[in-house]
This record gives sequence, C-alpha cells and structure tokens, in this order.
Amino acid sequence: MITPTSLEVFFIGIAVVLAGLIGARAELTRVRGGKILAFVTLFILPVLAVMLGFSEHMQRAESTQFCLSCHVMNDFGRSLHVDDPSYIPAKHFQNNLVPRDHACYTCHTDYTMFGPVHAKLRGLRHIYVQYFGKPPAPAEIKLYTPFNNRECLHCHAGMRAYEEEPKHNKTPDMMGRLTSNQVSCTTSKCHDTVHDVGTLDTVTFWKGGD
Amino acid sequence: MANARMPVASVERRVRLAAILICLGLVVLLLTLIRIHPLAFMAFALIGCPLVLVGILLFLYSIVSEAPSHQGNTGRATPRLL
Repeated sequence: MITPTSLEVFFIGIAVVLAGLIGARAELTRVRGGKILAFVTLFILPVLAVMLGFSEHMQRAESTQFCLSCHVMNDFGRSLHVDDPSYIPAKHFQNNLVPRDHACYTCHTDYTMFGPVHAKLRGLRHIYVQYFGKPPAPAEIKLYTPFNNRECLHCHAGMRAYEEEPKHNKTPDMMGRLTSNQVSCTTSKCHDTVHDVGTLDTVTFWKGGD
Repeated sequence: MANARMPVASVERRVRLAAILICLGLVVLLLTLIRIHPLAFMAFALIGCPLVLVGILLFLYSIVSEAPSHQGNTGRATPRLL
C-alpha cells in the first residue's frame, strides 16, 4: 500500500541516488545537461527532501507513540487504559472521544495561535531533560500552567450534553465562569481524577481496544 | 594548460564534496524515518539537516566562486559549472 511516508522515502531515496551519482562523477558537470542535473540534485531535491522530512517529523511528534516513547511517560500511557470512567483521559481514550493515535496532543496543545509551536518547543526541552538531565518521577510531573478549560471546550462547547448537564448550571453564572476559566473543569472537585499515575498500582485495566 | 584546468578541478572537487555531504545528510534523513522516536527527530535536526545545509551552501559557493576565475581566462574556454 502506498502511503505518504513511503512516497517521501522513495523521493528521498531518488535524491540520495542522484547525489551519489554527482559525487562519483563530478565531471558530469562539464556539460550543460550535467550542470542542470547538478543544480536539481544538489539544490532543489535536497531542499524539498528536508522540507518533506521536517513535515513528517512534525506530524510524528504529535503521535501518541512519540509521546510515550520516553520511559518517564509509560505510566501516563497506562493511565489511558484504566478501567474506571472517572479517569478523564481513560474515558476519552477508550471511547474514541479523542483520536487514539493523537491522544496526548489533542488535550495538551493550547488551542491558540502559537499553541502547537509552544508545545513542540517544550517537547525539545523534554528531550533534553530525558537524555541530559534528571527526569522527575512520573507522579511528580506537573503541567507548566494549570489546565485551561479552553482545551476541554474546544470540543465540549456547544455540546448538548455539556450545556444541559445540571452540574454545569448549578448557578446562573456557572457556564460563564467555566467558559472564562474562572472555575476549572479539572480542579474543582468535578472532573479532578485525571492521569493520577500515583494510583495505578491499585486500579484494574481495560483489556479491549486492540 | 595546467593552470587553465585548475579552477575546473577545484570546482569539481567542491561539487563532489557537496554531493557527498548532501548524500550523507539524506541518508541520515532516511534513517530517522525508520522509527517514531524523539532521538530520530534530534538526529534529523542536529545531523541530517546540517549536513544537507552545508552541502547546499558548498555547492552554491562553488558556483559563484567559479565565475570570477573564468573571466580572467582569455585563451581557453574553461567549462563553467552553471
């Protein structure tokens, strides 16, 4: 099956072969056709290949597999399989409320103009800490800033189940306070069981979904 | 005769070196696509991209640096790169 990645690999492979040809036979550049070939091979194709590679790596950096490839993230990955719907990430993951292959990135990117860029820059720092620093214990990992309701409302705003939920209308101004992030979804004793990786030794895990 | 051939050999040497650097960089790029892992991204950004970038710059330099030496050569049509 032809996938975008296999096409990219094929394209880069062609660029490698042509660059190798010019490297082995630089005298080809003495004739006009060789000069054109050299320009295409040593300028246009490498630029395109790097752009394709960068795009591919940026997409891969959004995948659940990428996020969980660091050892310190293992428990956060396990928390997605907890057999208890009060664990918010597990409920979303197991019911396909977030795409499983982009589960982390869906909730942990600020939905602002530069949110994805900030998330990736922080990711670079995480890589540095993972390999050159001292990674904290999973239970000690905290968010940089409190989780913003905006990330929940990106999907839930306008949902009938969300708007008609009695707890979301306890007071006349409750919906407004939720929207303006004055009342947190995750720390106001409503949906406060999130990853809770410190409790994973005492829970059971969902076996399905494969 | 030998002096007239020197710039061509020099240009070809630079082009060859540029091609080798670009080839190596692209091979690194290919290898980083094998696995989805942060280290693959780091290898792409810190090894593959610089190799390709240096190769491209060297190739472009070989083009622009060859032109002046050609102007001074009046007796023989020295092959130019581009």
